[in-house]
Amino acid sequence: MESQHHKPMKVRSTPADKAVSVVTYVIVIALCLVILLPCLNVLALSFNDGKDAARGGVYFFPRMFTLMNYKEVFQDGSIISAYRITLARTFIGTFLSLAVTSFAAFALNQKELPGRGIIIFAITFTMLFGGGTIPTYVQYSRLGLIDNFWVYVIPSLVSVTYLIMMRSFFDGIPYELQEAAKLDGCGYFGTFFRVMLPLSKPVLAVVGLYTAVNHWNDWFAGAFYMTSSKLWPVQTVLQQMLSRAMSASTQQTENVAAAIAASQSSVTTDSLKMAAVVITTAPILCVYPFVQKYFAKGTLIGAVKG
Amino acid sequence: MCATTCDKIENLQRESSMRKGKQNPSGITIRTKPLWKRMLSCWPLYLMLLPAIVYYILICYVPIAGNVLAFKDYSFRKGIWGSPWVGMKYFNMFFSSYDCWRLIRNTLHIGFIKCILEFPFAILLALLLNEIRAEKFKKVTQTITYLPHFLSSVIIVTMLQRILAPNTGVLNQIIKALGGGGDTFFLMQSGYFHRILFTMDIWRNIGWDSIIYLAAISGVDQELYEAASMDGCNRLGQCWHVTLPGIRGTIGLLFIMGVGGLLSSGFEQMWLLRTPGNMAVADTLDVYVVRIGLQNGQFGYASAIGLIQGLVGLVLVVATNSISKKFTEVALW
Amino acid sequence: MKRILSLVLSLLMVLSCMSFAAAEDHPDTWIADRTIRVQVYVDDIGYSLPKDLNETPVMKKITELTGIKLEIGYTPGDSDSKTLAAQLAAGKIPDAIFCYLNNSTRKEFPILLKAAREGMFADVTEFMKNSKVYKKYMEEGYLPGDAYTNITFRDDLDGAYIMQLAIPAVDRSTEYIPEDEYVGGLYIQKSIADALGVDTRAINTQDQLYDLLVKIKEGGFTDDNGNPVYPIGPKYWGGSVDSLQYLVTGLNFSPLGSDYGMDAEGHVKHEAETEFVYEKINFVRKLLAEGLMNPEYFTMDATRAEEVSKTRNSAILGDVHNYVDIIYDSDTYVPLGPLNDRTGKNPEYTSGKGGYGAWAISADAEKPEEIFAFFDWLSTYEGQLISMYGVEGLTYNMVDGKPVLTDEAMEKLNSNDQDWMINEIGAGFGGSGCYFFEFALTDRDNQANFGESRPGATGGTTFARAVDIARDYPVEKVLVPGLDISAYLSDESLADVKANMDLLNYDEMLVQAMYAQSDDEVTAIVESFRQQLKSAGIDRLYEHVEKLYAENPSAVQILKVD
Repeated sequence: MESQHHKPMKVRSTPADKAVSVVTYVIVIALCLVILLPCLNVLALSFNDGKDAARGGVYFFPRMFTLMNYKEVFQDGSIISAYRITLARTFIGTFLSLAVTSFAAFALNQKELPGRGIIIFAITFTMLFGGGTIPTYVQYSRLGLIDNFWVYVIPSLVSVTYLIMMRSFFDGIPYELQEAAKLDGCGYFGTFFRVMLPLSKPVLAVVGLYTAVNHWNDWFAGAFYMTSSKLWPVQTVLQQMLSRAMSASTQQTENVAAAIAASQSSVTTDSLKMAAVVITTAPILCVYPFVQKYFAKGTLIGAVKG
Repeated sequence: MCATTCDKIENLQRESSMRKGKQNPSGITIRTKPLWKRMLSCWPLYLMLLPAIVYYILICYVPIAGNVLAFKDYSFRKGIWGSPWVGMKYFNMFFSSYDCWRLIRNTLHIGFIKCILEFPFAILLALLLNEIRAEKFKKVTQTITYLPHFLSSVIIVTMLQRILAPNTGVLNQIIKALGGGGDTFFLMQSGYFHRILFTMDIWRNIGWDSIIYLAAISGVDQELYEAASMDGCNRLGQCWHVTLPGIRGTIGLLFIMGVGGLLSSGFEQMWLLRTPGNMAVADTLDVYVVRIGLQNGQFGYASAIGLIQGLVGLVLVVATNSISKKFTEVALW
Repeated sequence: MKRILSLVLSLLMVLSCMSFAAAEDHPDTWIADRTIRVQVYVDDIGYSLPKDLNETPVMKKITELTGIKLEIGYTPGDSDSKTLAAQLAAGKIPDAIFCYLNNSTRKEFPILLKAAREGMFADVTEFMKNSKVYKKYMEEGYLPGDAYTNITFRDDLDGAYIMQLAIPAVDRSTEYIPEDEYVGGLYIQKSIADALGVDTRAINTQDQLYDLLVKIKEGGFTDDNGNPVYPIGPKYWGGSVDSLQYLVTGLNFSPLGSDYGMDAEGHVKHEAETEFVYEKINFVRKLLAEGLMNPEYFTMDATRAEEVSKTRNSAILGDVHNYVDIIYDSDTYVPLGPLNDRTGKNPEYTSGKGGYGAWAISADAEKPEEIFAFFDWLSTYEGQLISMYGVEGLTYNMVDGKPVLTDEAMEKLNSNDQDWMINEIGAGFGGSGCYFFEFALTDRDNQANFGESRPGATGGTTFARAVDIARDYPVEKVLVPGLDISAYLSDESLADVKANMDLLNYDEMLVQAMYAQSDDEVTAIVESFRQQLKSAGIDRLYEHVEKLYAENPSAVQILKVD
């Protein structure tokens, strides 16, 4: 099978090892196919003429190839300006999140810190209890976050999960290194910046990626906390396109003007929506390969030895 | 052959983890100082914590305090704190409603699938990907597996409906080709609901969730692999004796944190998958809160249910954490 | 120093003189030089808002006449009611809000009422008295009964806070005006009806419908992809439980189509408590079992429902109306029936005049009288003309005292150039353009005011066939005044009953039972629902409504069938 072409590069491999790699490749390839096929459908639809696609039967290849859907999405200027918002929130949000989270994780990693356990418990607590829609909205509005760009950044500044992951990663860095730095006269800040940060690339990469993608994917904040579509990120614009299809099935019309308006607003074809999906997804997909190199084996230990 | 070396490796592993977690040698002297002096000496740490603490207070705790709404009759004008108290009214209302136990049962069932059953799959994928030596292939497959994370629920459910459609759907076509009836209406039969949910979640999340494990695997000491391979462990053995123990901490932490979500199912996915045929099992607390609480302006009632969910989550997390601490030394606090 | 002071003073004087002079130049319609911020909770109305609202010719004209600029906020459709609640809770509503409100039974109403009670909205009673249009609301008999007693002038409110929109100036609810009608319901493929030699208008009973479906199935028709057609398929907009409306009309307990009706003894009952519930369920089960109906009739998502409609996979569409492109663009589909109700008639029952949408002014708004005056002006003849037709000379000209669209505007309307209508002009164009300017109007009588039911209705080609259908398939309109029984659940004495009833969805139960595997399961589902109705306290609702009905039969929309 196909998997035979990718022989493991290991020098010594027993028959059992060979069996393991065959099974591995088979499973991974099967999984990729299962995942890829439906996604191909999205791609095919996006390159197909909208009216033609509505007739059904477009699976993995466009039947009537066209770039019109993409052209149309870009022509509607709102997606370009929405992109600006998305990029801004992703960069600013991820940077600030990493800064605040890594500071806190480092502090909580120091065993001599009094009140460590209590603080961690208190932080975990927030993962289980939400404020509920109304109190949260009231508080954001009190903080002036409604209709404000910072509502994209501040509420998602520190995630409990990432904080704890980062702290546990710091746990894995040999303590001798911190100790040595402290003996050299580095304070906590010095230890953090000179020892811990350079060694934490893998975890920074993972948390950075997760945070960036969360920022990229979030449509809710735009939909709920922004009353002006001018500050919407791309995902909110997209969600609006998609939800229009959803709400259509409950459409109640009482008069002709409403009926016309309703049928006007649903002229967005499926193909156009899929083009929008591709446009909103493609850029962030490209990020992963760059992040991946930080997960290469031995990053940590190599650094320690060097 | 391998079995004997395993002990060695586990020793190495333990040594390595001991080395990592070694106590501050001067810890004993610090402990004897009075608390305030110890706190004072740590001032840079508190400074580093400050932004996160301010964040948690302003963004999390103040709204959490707003949960007192569960005991109040909310008035727009008087606000959260000024509204009149109603005691346990909403809790009584919820527990006396005939639907309450069905909702709790449904939610627990779905929570169990989401928090427990789905949990190991991302780890499995990470282990599999770790076995792939061809770097290019690995990069491509990883990117593919995390692709579905970017598709919104609306799109996924639309595709799902297409695949599962009676007669015309791909799945039914396959069943027909294999000699079956091919007219099963999967989404209308409550018996299939949990399987559909499970498959959709795995499809969507497996690649994404595996990233964190891959990162953890990258942190495993390479010397351990060398030692294991020297002692004749094959790759399966290395995986079992080196990789898995090496990421044990990550697995444990994520599990403990995940358990807290046992009583929450999320809204959007449930809402999209819900049909009159499967609503007997698909109605969960989260759906109920949106339908009853928010749309009808019953904010107190919505808060009460949120509180119940949170309390159950808290108990579960605290319990799991202490059990884990006792037996595996992996713990949140 | 003194010199500077005097200079400043004289400068100020000059300035104030200038502004005074400017004020003199203002037209009579001038209200104030300000921006009014409104939030609109109306599905995806934002989709049809101009990118730069205040820069459109229509808005510039409006500003020139009134001084008002508008800033319209909105959220994507599916978070409307949540956003409304959250913004009210946070006290963050802008100057005015607009939302859907067909009548007081809509789901937004409890929140609006709560807000009105708690003083979140401005009392407009005084402004109304001095207004041009809204003063009519105070006249006896102008507002629909529900809008008057349950929305605007409620006994339990100390003022008028919520105003319904789109109130017709003259009650024409029992007249049939083809240009104003949308014809919803079952539509059948004309070619199939022709091939079978069926008179589509003569399908009026459940049995006739069943026979037709059987014939279609036996006819072996195929769709565009060569697959066999389903005799009946889902609604064009996607399946949902309310698709039952047109399918089992003859099996409704209440001829009005309500969940509640009145039996021969004069007792109010929920349909679930009658035998009709089983008849409905069994009818649909029969269709499903015999493969006469698309199994996804109630659940298919919008995208695929549109697909099966466009590929002609459904011989009969469960529901669509004449203002949808597959109907007015070609003659593929024609209306079927409609089915008679159990009294053997098929009129359209109306409760009289009706409104659509509502608005309110925030209690915190500055100078609420200006906001009121602006939206009052918008509904005057002049305001409506600009809102709907745009700017004279640019998009319309006056011919014999009536507005007529310019050739350019007519061409854009016919080619459905939304970008032009919305961004370049910004007028409502009868729903084809910026919908907000159709939605925010009231006291409407387009026929009398503008000589046509919407801009371009006469002479426009886009909807010509839609109007033809309405003309060819007239229905009798019968007045049955009053509010649906379910509206009385909102009575304060029934608050706990309402809370319980909110959990029960009769349509969902019906569909659940229709897909049950056995008769026993059907019985179990129905009986359990009946039990739940009882424990919800529905008897108290019956009692309440029967009492009201005895006092004033026109308060409750009931048709007693003997």
